[in-house]
Amino acid sequence: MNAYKSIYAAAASGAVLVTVNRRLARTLHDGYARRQQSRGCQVWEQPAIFTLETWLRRCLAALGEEGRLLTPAQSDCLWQQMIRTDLDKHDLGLMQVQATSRLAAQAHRLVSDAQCVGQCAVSSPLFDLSPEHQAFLRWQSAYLLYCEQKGWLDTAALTGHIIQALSTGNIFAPSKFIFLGFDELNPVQTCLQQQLEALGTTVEVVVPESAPEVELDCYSCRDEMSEILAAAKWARQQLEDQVGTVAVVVPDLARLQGAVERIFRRELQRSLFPQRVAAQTFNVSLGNPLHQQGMVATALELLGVGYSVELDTISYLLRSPWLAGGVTEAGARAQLERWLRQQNVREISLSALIKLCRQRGDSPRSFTQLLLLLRDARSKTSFNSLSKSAPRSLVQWGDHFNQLLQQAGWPGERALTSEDFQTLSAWRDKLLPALAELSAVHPATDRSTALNLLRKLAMEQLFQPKAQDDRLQVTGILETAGLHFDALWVMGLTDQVLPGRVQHNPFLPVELQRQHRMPHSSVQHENDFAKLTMQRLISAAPQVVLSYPCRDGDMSLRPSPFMFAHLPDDYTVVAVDEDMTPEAKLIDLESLVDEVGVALNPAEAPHEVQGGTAIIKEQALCPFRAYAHYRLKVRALESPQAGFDSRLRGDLVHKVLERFWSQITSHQQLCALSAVELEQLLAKLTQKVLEQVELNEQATELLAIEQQRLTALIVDWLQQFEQLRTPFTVVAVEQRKKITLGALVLTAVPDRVDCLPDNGGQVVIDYKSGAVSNGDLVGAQLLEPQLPIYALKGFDGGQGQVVAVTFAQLRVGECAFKGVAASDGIIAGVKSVEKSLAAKRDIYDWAALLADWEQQLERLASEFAAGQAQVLPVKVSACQFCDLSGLCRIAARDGEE
Amino acid sequence: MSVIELTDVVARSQAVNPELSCIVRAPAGSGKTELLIQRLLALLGRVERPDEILAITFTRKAAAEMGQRVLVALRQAQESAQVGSGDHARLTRQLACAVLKRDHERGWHLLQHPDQLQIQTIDSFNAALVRRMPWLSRLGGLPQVSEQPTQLYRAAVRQVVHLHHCDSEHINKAVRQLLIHLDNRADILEDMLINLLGRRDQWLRHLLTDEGRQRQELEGALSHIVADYLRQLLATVDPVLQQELLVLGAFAADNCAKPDKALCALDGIAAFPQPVPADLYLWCGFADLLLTADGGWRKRCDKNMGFPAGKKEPGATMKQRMTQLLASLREQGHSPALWGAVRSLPDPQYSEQQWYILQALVTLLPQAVAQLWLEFSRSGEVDFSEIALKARQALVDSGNPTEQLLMLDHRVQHILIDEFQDTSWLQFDLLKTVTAGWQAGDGRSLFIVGDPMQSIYRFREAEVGLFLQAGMSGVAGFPLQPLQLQANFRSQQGVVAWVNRWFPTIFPELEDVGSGAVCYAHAQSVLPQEAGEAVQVFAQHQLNIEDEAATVCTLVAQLLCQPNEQTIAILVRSRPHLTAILRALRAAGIRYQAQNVDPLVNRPAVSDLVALTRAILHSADHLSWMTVLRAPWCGLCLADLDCFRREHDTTMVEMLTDPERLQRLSANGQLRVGVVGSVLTAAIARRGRCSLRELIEDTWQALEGSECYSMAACRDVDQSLCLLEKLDHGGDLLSFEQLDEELRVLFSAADERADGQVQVMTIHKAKGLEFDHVILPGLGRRPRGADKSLIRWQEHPEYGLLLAPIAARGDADDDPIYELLGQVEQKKSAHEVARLLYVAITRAKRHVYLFGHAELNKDDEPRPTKGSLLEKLWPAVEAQFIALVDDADDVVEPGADRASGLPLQRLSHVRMVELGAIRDQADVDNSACQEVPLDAQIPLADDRIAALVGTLTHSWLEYLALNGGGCWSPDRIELLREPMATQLRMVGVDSNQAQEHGERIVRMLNQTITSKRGRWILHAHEQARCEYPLSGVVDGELVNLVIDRTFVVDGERWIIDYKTSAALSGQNKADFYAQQSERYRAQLERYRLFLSQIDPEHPCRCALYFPAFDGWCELEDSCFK
Ligand code: SF4
Repeated sequence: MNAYKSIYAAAASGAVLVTVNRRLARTLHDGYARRQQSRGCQVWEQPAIFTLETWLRRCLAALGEEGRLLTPAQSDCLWQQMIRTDLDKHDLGLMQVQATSRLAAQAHRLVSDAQCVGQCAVSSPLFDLSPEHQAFLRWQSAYLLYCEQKGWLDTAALTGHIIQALSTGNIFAPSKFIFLGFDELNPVQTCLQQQLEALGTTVEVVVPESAPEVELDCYSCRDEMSEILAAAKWARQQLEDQVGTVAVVVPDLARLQGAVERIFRRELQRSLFPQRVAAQTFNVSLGNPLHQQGMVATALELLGVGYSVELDTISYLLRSPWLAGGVTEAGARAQLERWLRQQNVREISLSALIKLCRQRGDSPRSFTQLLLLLRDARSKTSFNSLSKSAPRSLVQWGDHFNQLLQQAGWPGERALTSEDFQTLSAWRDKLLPALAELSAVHPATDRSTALNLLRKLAMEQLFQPKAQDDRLQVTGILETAGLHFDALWVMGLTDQVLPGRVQHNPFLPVELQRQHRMPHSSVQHENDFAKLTMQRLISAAPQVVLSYPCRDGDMSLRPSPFMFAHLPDDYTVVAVDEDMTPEAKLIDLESLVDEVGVALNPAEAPHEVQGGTAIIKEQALCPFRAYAHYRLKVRALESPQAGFDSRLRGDLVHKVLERFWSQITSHQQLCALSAVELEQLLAKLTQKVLEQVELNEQATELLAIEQQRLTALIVDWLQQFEQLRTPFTVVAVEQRKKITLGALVLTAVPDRVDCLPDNGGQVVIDYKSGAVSNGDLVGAQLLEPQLPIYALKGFDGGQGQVVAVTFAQLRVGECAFKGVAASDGIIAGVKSVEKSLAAKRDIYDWAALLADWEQQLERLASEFAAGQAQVLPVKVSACQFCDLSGLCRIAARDGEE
Repeated sequence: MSVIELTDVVARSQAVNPELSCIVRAPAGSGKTELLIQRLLALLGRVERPDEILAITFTRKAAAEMGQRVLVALRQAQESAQVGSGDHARLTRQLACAVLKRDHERGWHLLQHPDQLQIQTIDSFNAALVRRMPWLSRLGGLPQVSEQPTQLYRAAVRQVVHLHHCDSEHINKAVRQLLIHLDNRADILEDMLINLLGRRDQWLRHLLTDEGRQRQELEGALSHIVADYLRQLLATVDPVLQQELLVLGAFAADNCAKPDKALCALDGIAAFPQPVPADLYLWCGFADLLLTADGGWRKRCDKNMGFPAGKKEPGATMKQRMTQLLASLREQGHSPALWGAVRSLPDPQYSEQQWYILQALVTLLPQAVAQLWLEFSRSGEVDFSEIALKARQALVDSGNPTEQLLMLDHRVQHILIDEFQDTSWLQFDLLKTVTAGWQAGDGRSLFIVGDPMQSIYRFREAEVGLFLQAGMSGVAGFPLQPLQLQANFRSQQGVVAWVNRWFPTIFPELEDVGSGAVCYAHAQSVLPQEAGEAVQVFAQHQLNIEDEAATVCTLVAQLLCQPNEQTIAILVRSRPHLTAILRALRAAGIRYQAQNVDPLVNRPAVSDLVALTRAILHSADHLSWMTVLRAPWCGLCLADLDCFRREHDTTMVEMLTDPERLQRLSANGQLRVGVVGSVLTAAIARRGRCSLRELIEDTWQALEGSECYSMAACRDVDQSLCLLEKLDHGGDLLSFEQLDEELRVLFSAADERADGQVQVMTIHKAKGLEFDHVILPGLGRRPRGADKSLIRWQEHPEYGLLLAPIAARGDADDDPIYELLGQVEQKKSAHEVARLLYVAITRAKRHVYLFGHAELNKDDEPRPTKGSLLEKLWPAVEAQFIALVDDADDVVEPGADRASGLPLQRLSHVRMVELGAIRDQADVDNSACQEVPLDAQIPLADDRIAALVGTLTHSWLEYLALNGGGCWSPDRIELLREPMATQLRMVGVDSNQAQEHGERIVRMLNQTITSKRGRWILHAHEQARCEYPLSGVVDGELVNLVIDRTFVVDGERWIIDYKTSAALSGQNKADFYAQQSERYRAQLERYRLFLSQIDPEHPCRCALYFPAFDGWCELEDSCFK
């Protein structure tokens, strides 16, 4: 490329070339190599092309002082410590110490840069100092003092130091020195320039010169996405036409990276010339943070396991393929995850989890071992069993983390792909050394601090897997500095991007920033900068496309005013409108009626089925639901809940009452108890029941309250409802029985059966802790079939007919008997058939009701046996608490598919 | 058009006067935006810097539009294009010219740098403040604002709702108390706290002002409210009536047989009660005297209420007087409700239980907020409230807000605020803070505009009372001139007339700050009348959603046929009211633009995608797996699904790879499972190696997802994929629950292809917009009530804070104080409902269509549902409902009309066969796919340190060579000991080891400079170079290398490579050398090759130098081929 010709010549003659960024340096190296080859050279000395930063470091090394230089991460860490110390001193909090340290370091750098030209003091009487400025001064002086004590040098001080060394002759000035890609030199760079010149160096600042003939176009696009797509299409076209190097500049690349990568890759893959369009090696210049890599995410998640773990973390680790056993044991681990959800595990201590896993017979062994490993690692690094760990240096923590990972079989059993391998090396060769480096400035610390530092580093460490293919580059606006291409598209040029915003560093007085013309300090500055940037972009290639999106959501956007300076006055912007959604492929789906599953074989009837009376209930609510739940046996994964979940609560009520009525077996006995005795008895019973239930740790805490609540509820129930009834004796409590219903054999467990005196018949009672409605019992649709089943099928040990069935609704504030009886007055509040809703359906007596029930139950049972599985909820609300809506696709009704 | 004399000309010109601070009421269609622009221009023409003016709008969109319009005005003035005629346009132009002049004089370049215009939303203003005050705001810089702060609230609350807070037994106690209060429902407590955290901007300042506010103060505010009620009542009771009541009351109490009746309190009463809570029991006594139990006037007086039967005096007279009194009260239109309200007034004192609970809350809530702060810090994300709270707090903490703003380069001199009617307390406080110290006539100005009649954002804590208050007494003492606009430039006369006719009665008669009552302001219509009824009513008796949807749909179709592309809006009060209408529109093929109305979560395409995601990530999520097998891309029938019935210990992945099981499938099933299975297993193998979105999207594509759904559904899928991108955690999901939760608040994207002629939205979203036709369906429906809050609070403009905790769970009655606050709230919301209606109807330029239902009561009269919009509208539309002849009244329950189930939709058999073939081919191609099996060894720390020592030694050897070569003395080397250790520490070696290894390096250097050979190597020979970087081409590949040391001595070129290693103990030197030279032979050969090209004159000799023991090993020529 001709643009660099003179530069290469200078390089060949031994000049020092410094670039504004690494990308430019790399490009020039590559270009130089090509030049040498094209001249037939086989071997040559590498030219002295560095970033300015690197050159300064080399100078420092030449002074033998390299060991004094803090890396940016180290000085950042130091700033944070200064800020933290200050916070502690003032007993204040600050949400984002890191963000603050960045701003402070930036302010420090701005001031240091300005200082080499002249006075630049924040604490000048010229300025009123706000608390922000004062805070900054405190931190800065602490920071500088610390650095001085330790003999450290940070990058802010580096240039000044080198200028000093040059002036004293401790390092030699090169004969020729070229600045490349700098839109403008900042004060300290100017200073360097002057110093070099004073020593007789020829210094050149190469500014972009515009190509003589630029073919310039300007497009307006509907929105960002359609702009990206338009650029992608254009890029593909350029590559297919083999114009040379193609670049697309995306100003807000950090935010748009994902979308750009996706849309470009898909577009490039569409090419019919795969050898010209390298879709596979396409990458956005930025790279992704290391912590987003699956392998690293698992590592961090694993290391993050503390004294107790949340289900999310356990689940993640159980499902991760990056640990030993993660593939071979995947099935068993997934099952374990499912089971833990059933146990309502929301957060659990490691030791409890280990116990739980051992209790469950078929837990995957290697996972239990992993847990043991984690627990031991924890206790080894702790003072005692408390969660606070003993302080160690970051180097030691790094080693510890590595060791733990290795023991956990990280990164797993799968063969590593080359990308996996690169990730692993990034972890090993970049991330952990970076942590170790922090050790120089960070005191020994506890485990979680160390881990947090590691996490932060992993977020900042960018990872870019494959090698770039230079033919297409997608970059941010600054990275293109000094580069030349054969075709260039600059997108996103709205007036929000160019000109940039005036934005002051909050830690420096505004006046000071203006005085020293610091970046972003004034409209004038932004104006100049915008002009320069525009000029640079336009001269970066002989063919340039500028574009901007017209809308962002419902807001309209305006083009950058700086664009038009380069366009002819009569230029009309071309509107492009690319649509993201692929054209509908218009393929007809086949549609068929499929609402009967596999029937139970009639020849093998009767069938014993699992699930009890709930099967019939669900068949009534929605046939598909019964089929899916009881034949396909699928249910959604459960989500753990806080405290006692409703199922457990229901269970507890049942259990306490079961015990109670096994001990107190009649109304008479009940009434004989004094209020105090009753309460004592129940307190005892609830305690016994609660002692026996398996609870997670969170619920265990609430036990005392639950006991109090349960006792109060049941005492209230017994006093307000059971005691007020006419005399009865309890004849059966939670008695299981197999009953036949059509072709089905089910297990039924009526909660309780009472016998009324003088052959008064029997009353079947079912406890409910949810709200029940009488309509579901006696209405047209039988939705609560269990009581009718008990009424029809009888049970052992009692004599006489069932004369009433009732729910005992045990809910605080809403206790009630709800049911139906052969006649009034059997239980207060339970109406006779003729007064119930059944009368609306012309059913007036008990026998008729039983007949109606029988008929409905038979029908439901036979439908179930026949595998009837229509998606037909009895009412809209039936779907509300159903987990199957995705499978049955009920929503397909409400709209076009 | 005839020229109409505007009645509000004066007000309009005053509003543009930059010297006048004013508060402008600008009703719908009054051209408010134009006015704002003019005011802004007028100010710009006279300020020093554009950023002295701060304009605050309600939305980002409004801010952008306002900026746009200012620029357009300036550009037009610049191009001297005369656009539009009329006074408005002329004035705008004139003002814009003045601004241009100013711009030129001061060198602003406004057109290039429109950013100088401070047109912002409250949120962006707050953000700017926080950005400039990282320290004072305690946020340390502007944090990310989370779109889903609920996750953060939940995390914080989980840290609070437990009973093992260390060292803070009072917190455990508070949690315990609340749990007992809520029937041990930890889940409910969590939900309530989460809800409260989301609204903490509203209560936080109350709880934090001082530790546990004094009980008296709170109770004092309550008594004020109670007294207010009583005063209101007292005002209706004139002295004569009072006297009569006294006499009758005393008599009745005296004669009352039942001593526990409220009436008996009047026994011996001499003076009429005062409107104070202490007399509440007396007021209740009178209420009992006058009202029946259910709150109507008594019809009879009998001995139960103290008027014995019989002619005995004074009983007979008294009884007669009582009867007369009741009759006259009835006739004179006294309100029994006013008297009845007395009965539910609470004793303004907390019971012990209430107070406990309140205390517990006061303990717990700050704790939750503190925990939330930790969550914020952990995640680096906050919610909008936090930024608002902290921005204001920072200003206040600075001690002098105005000074502070100055220091931030915020020289705010003039403030314009739009939509002020929807200001919240927090925002009002901010305004007060920003304008602290302003004085009338000091050259600063405040311009507040809005329409109290359009205040509809109570759910975001808008307080219309603040507008009213500002109108009366300014902002914090800064006086404002109230101005009222009247002209309506938007709606045709018919609409304006209708609104003028009915809204005065729909709105309250009197304004009231406390309850946010706003009166109607008469509008002057500017546009002429159009043909046809301006407002039409479509009445129903029974709610029939499907019918209504069909009618709406027909109406839209008709309107679309009219000429001139008239715009149509369908506006509803809440989203669920739209479901049926959207379905009908889609069915009728009418394209519409809808934003945020169509929830994504139930879309089959979306739930298939979610199932696919979960299945790939969780092999034991059997339900998701089945859903994947049943989705259109596979479409397995029920019978085949039976083969995959869940078994205890087998996952679906295992089932799918079990040939025996697959044998049991039907032939069709085998085909389908075969095609889909391979895609799914491939996806599982890729887990964790690419982003989650990539994994799922590619799989979805491979399953031909795009063939299975409509375009619109594919757009929905794309949105869901974006969500996956957001939740990606190393190519996996951390929490499935979070996916579900975030999906729930997503809506179908607007149909970009629809031209916007038909728009569907909520009334709230329609604020500020206008349409030719406005259709308002579902007016008879009532939105779902909000859940009860753990605590209710009201900030009364005069009495201060009112606070009440929720009643214990299961308590039959609600807590009376809690209820009282509920009533205050209800009153406010009743007022707002009227305003909502006003906003909806005034969106119309030409016609309004009202749809609603009112069920018939016992007497067959139609009555609107309580709380519905129709209830408010009733006076205006009642006639139409009465006139409505009832249609067939057999109402079909929704859902019941569908007798049959759903058909199974899936890719056809033919297509499946095709896909099967394609996939088999692809499998063959991929089998060659290369995986590099690698031995993943993570090296231990030693290796790293060895490498570091090597690097350092090299660079110091270079340093020695460059600085004096061979004449270094051990003393000088000794001086390097310290820097060496420091340097090692800087590159990450722990101090103890750094010492040791530094020692080692120094030893090596010493070894080198003391040895003859070492000195020779370092000597400044001819053509000597250190770390010599070379590039070259080897077999077509570019190779870069760096040579440690090279020089020419005696016509020979030496190439020397440093090695810091040493022989293992027991290893003999010769063996060691042999091993090392074998190891580095190839490398050195390459050096030799390169250098011989650079310097062909001298023959090369290569050697390894071992500074650790002054080892030397030359590689003879014979070593090299
Ligand atoms: S969601 Fe509704 S339709 Fe689907 S299975 Fe459940 S109840 Fe039946």
